[in-house]
Amino acid sequence: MEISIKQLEHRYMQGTPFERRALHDVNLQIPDETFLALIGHTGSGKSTLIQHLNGLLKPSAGSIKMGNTILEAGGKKQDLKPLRKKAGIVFQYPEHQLFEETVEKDIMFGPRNFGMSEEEAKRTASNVIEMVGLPQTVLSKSPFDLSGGQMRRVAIAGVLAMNPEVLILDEPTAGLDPSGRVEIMELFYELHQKNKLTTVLVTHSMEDASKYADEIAVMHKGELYLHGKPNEIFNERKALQEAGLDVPETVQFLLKWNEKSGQDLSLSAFTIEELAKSLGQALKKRGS
Amino acid sequence: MENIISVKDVTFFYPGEETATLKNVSLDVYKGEWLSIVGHNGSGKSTLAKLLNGLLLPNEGTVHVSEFVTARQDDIWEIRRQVGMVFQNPDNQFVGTSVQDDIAFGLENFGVPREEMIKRINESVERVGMQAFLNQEPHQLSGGQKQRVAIAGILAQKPSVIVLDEATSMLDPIGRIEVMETVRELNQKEGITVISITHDLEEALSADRVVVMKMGEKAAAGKPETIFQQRELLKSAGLDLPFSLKLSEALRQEGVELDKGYLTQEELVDALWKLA
Repeated sequence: MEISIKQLEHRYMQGTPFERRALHDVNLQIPDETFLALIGHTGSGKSTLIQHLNGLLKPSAGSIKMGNTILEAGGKKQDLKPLRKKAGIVFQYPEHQLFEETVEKDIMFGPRNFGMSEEEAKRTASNVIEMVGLPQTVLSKSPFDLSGGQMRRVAIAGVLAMNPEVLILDEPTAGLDPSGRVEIMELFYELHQKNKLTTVLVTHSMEDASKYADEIAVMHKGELYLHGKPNEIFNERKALQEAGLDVPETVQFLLKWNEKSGQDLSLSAFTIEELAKSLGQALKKRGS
Repeated sequence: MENIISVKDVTFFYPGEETATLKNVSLDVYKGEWLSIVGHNGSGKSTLAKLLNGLLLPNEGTVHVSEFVTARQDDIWEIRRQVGMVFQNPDNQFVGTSVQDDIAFGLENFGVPREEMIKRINESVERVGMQAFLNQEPHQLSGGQKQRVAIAGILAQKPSVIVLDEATSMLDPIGRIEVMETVRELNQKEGITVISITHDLEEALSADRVVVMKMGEKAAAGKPETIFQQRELLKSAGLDLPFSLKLSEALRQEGVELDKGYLTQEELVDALWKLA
């Protein structure tokens, strides 16, 4: 689903002495089926921005177009249910929102709310539990008897059960151990490709951004600070550092090597394998 | 080396659970060291942390903090004063309405007289670089700043050990650096022992020693140089290799003849430069 954000502004507690501008003049086009990484440090406005994408927050000025739905400042009240069904948000620490007696009921809650039949919701629960890599036996357990990592997966399954077209992920791997982190990110990436989703990933990890994202948007002080393809963004190290961020480790290493060797190597992808290849070739050339 | 904490043959069950969360764990913590505890989710590392200052008590075995024992009721206050804990969520441990109230809260619990209290509050906020924020309210602080206040609250009680239970995992990169630098200074300049439970491998790399927890057992302990060479061990404990080691390995597969895996980017750049 194409997402088009125009001159978006958001003010918290508008008209009170506590009024605070959290977003200002954000313009961002996200083409259908794009994987976008949204980066910025705490307070940069990224969480405020994503809460607009399924109508949890309303623009104070400007507009957001999500497929056929337009959300704009001063616009008429509209039924947001169809939008919320299509745009699923996985919040930070989503396991804190589990509440039902059993995993199955918890997963079925969303689909049932949107009018799916009991039987179909059950089938859906059984499908998505497998998608997130958990055994069917988990369905009858209480979500609170599961480990933290399993609870996270159940919460994600609850969002996937809605079969969203847009997936909005707010630091979905925070607090997980390294292998859990990789598993969850791979799961999202696979879904993104298989179901042709439009994905917005909020992350602090430049590594994840470099690995999965087609485009990167950097927020800073409530404004869209940088936007482009990963290689374009990683060329702006100074600007990133000014926003309290940095390039991925592979690029950091390459810059250190270039400085030491006087060479001017660059990367076409930002994986460790790619870096090793390009360093290996450079060493061979020097050796011969 | 002198022990400050000794964990001996500790087994721990949560009530109603059939399998032990910790199985026969023994561990010495040396005075003044930085010890990182790493392991997969559910490996028992946070449970272990809570046993260190008697928030949890072992079903079997003992936990000593210098000459005190956590299982002994009379010792527990002294142990809690000596071993301060910083938890994961900055919002869950801020109890005061301002920075100084928050620090005062802990001191009141220990019955510190007012004059002394004011002195200690001022001293401890200065040590974490938060003196300008004394009267600020929690919502005016960033996550990293809140964690530094939590550390100040511990410092005011003149502790010998600080336990960080994933204390930086909910912070952004700037907050993380802020907190780690504060703690590193306390460790290096004041000799406070640091036990850091973490998923951050780069942080564990700079520790004096690393303990690897796996399925409730201590799978390994040693210097980071040795621990992080053990690829299979780390993998089976749900951990990843640090960046420079992964790159070393990938370079070898590209036919670059490195003599070993390097732990830091600087060492690896130097090693490559010598090969060129």
